[in-house]
Amino acid sequence: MLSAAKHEKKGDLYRALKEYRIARTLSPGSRKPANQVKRLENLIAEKTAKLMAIAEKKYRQGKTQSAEVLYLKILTLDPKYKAAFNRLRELNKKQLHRKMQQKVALSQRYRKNSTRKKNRQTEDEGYIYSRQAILEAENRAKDVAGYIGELEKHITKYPNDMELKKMLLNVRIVQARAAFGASDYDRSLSHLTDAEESLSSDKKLLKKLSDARKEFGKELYLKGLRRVRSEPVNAIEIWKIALKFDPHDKRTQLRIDTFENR
Amino acid sequence: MRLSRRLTATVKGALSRNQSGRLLSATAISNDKRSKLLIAGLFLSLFVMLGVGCSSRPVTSEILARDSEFIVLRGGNEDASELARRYLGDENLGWVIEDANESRSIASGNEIIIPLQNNNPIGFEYEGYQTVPILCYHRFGNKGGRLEVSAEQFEQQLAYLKQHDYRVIHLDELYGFLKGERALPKRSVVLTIDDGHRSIYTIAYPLLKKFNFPATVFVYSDYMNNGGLKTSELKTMHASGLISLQPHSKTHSNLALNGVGESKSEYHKRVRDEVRLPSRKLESTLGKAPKYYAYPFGDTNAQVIDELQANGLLLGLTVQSAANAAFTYPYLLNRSMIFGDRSIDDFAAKLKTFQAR
Repeated sequence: MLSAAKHEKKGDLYRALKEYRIARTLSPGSRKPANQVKRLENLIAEKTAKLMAIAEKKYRQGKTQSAEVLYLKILTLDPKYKAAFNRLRELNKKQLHRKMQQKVALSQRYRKNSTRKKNRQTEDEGYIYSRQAILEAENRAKDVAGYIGELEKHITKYPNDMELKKMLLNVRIVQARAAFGASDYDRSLSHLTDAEESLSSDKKLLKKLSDARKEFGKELYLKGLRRVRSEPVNAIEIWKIALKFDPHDKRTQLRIDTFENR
Repeated sequence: MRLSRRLTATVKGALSRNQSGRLLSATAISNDKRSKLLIAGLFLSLFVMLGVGCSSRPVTSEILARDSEFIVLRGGNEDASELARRYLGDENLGWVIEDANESRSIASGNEIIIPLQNNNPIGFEYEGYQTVPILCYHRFGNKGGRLEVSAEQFEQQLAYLKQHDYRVIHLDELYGFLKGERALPKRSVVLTIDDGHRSIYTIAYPLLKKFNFPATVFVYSDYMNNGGLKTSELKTMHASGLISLQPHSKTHSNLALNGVGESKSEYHKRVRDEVRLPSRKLESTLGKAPKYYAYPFGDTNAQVIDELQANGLLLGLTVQSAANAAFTYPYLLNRSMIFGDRSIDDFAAKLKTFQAR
């Protein structure tokens, strides 16, 4: 460990002072450490006062960077020098406000969907903003279209975000199911088609959509079967819709062919 | 060992007192009284050590000297927490002793310094100054989104903090540091979690309890009981004393941006509501007024800050990626986002606890 004298020689007056104070504690009866403490305290007070005067002059001249270096130096000598601390905070406040204004401008640009710089930090911020926009939309329970829109926008920007892709898939299937339940088959189909377009690059998700199509097709096939005796024409129409959901369903195609050939 | 060096210096000093009047260092300061005290102390400790050799009785530290600034001990077999409990009245202040003794270990026979005064509450040293990183999480799980951190990752990160001797502190402690009044452990880190997703309760909270790490959860009040954390979950976490719950707006709208077609007065009202209403809701739910606020999207401006101050909120947190010095403006505190798709090295890189000058 460096001795107090070595600390002092290095310029680390604060640590030297601490060592002398410990020595004073150890030797309360001795005048030497007490004198050293007094001497260093005076030296520090003198140095910090000089540095503060220069720093303040620079600050008034608008040379804030030079002033900042001096305020930091003062605090290394005397961490309780409140005036230097307050000045540093004042400078920091201005710097952070400037940075914040830049960030808000960036958010404004994201909101307007304009182009952005491609570096990691802005990418991260863009991602957060995009996700948060979804979160906001998630809360607008009535505005499902808005929610889906935010999800699709996000996936276009971040095509590898599986979580969001799955979220979109689920929302689309739920919406397709709701429209299907209300016998609005065109709308139901349009949800599935849109989802297929948005998720066209992912085979697993496409398979899920294909399964959903088969399920809807099967339900319509059975519905047609139930009607075939009482309303055969209607049954054929239902099967034709079923084929729109699941165009490769041979069973439904066979039923249509059989009844149309009668 | 510092004690033996001091003792050597003392003995040398005693021998050569008349040869040189120059004071080489604090360690060379000596006088008859001190030599006698130290030699007596040495015999006493030898006696104590022999006593330990004969039995399994614990060795307690021995006070070599004390005044209003320091206690200087010869260490027994107590650890820093035990020493802090005995001499500082609070076992949680063990870090004060560890940091004051720097590389010297707190061990039996070693000389240990216990500072009784807080002379450096802002963490400034000759080489630079202390900074406190605030980490910002969002949700936890395995769905794969970047804002989501898996339970395994989170546990790995908490274990990393523990293994590398980081001290996870409450925002309350950071507030004292920012006021220039409260010294913090050298490797202090703050954990925060935004939004109020339910995975905080199901995944993060059990892990935080396991490591006994405090965290601050910023919830936006419209999300409470509406997909986000439930009141019962908030109360349970609050009661644990480990989790502090603070506001993150009402609807999570961007407070620094005007809404489309929003008039000035509508904007002012929105800012007022987004600051005031979640604070009230949290206060009525938990019975304690919130003190800190995390800006939605990390965006803010002078008006929002004014509103925070008008509502008695003491800190405002952004998501500008940097650590915080004691002089950082308290209403624009930096935070580093933690993403689920980054490695533990990326995580470690965000733990910057010292800024070289």
